[in-house]
Amino acid sequence: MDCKDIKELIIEYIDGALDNKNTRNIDEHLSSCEDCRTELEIIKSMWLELDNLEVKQISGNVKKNIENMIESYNLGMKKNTKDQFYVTFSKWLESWWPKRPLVQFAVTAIVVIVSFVTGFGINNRVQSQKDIVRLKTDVNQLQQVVMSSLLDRASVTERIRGLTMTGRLKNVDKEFYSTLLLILNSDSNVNVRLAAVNALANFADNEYVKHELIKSLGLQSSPLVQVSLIDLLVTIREPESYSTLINIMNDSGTNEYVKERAKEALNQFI
Amino acid sequence: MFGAGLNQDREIMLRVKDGDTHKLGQLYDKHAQGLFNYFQFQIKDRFKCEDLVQNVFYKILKYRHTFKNGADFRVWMYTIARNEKINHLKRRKPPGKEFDPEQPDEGGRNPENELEDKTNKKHLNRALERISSDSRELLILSKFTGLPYSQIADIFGCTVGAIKVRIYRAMKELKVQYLNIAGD
Repeated sequence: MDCKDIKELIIEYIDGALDNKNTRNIDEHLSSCEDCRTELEIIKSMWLELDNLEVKQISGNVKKNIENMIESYNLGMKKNTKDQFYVTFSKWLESWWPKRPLVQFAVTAIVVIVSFVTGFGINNRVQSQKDIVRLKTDVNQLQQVVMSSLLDRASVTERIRGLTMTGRLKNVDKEFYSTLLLILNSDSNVNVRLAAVNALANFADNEYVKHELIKSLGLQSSPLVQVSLIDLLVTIREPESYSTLINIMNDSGTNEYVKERAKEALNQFI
Repeated sequence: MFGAGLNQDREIMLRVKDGDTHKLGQLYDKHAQGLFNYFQFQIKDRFKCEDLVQNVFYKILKYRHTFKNGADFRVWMYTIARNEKINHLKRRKPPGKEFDPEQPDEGGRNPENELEDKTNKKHLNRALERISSDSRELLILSKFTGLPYSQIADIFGCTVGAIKVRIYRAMKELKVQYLNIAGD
């Protein structure tokens, strides 16, 4: 063993992790080489001293943030799973559609004929259809009332459940939007506010909701909610949010990660 | 026992991959401090280091589907951590000091050997600050994360023998800086 061979083994030699044969070989070399001996002494003392350097402990807040992040991520994933179902379903339907133009024409003709025949039959039941429409409207309003009452509850879980259920509603009124926006802007629990962002995403094509989401972005203090709102505004490609994003980036109090997301969002608009 | 720990991490990560995302908390409990150590000796801002730990766990969650069945969790996690660190340093403006560990407290009790001990640590911290970022990273991975050389070699994409030589070279670099500082 020469001085060059020592390089690969010296750290393990110091740690006492070498086998007997290699340890003996190094010992023999060290007994005859003063340079290596001196080198080893210095490196050994520094290697051991590194263990004594002061190490700071990670703050407990990080764990809480990670738990919140997992919760918000799971809420977001539930929504995506729903979307994926529709994509799969539409692909499945598409697979049934014939590829040959002649067959396509035949299917279309059959559908048109069946539609006419069914239409004549249904025409006699127009009155009952009107009743069904009215009933559906009533049920929808009833659902709104039930959910509004859930959203008023003290329990965080029940408020989140209420917000999750709002995805089933159609044709909701402005008063209901205001309830969701009030939760987004003033609920004390960050998970509830995140669930409110997800709930409002279902109604983000409404101009009033869009406008209020942008306003809310300027008001939020939680980085998680800010990031979630920025992502939503990017998804609906709302250019009106441009100035709010610039304000967020220029605000010295904004979390660095949020600033980066705002910057990425601006780039996407450009 | 060590191998069992590795397999356990892999099993937990595979469950996270399958959608049991709350299991990520268990991996956080085991590895967050090691990750924080990795960052704290390379980036001076404590809060930034905590942000980076969070980012690493966010990426683990987001890209969990890319974790391969036979992969080593810690190698995968520290590879993500390295990328996070590189991206952070790229984004920093202006490019300045990466590393500035808190200096040891100069006041308080003052026995002679304690003073000498503090001075050694101070010199060592400063020497660590002055060596190349690659060498510093290697020494931190070896000393403060609990990773074996074989896993460090996997992270750096080289052989175990090459890693040991690089650690030796990093120590020589540290020695040169340490002796310079001590001689000033």
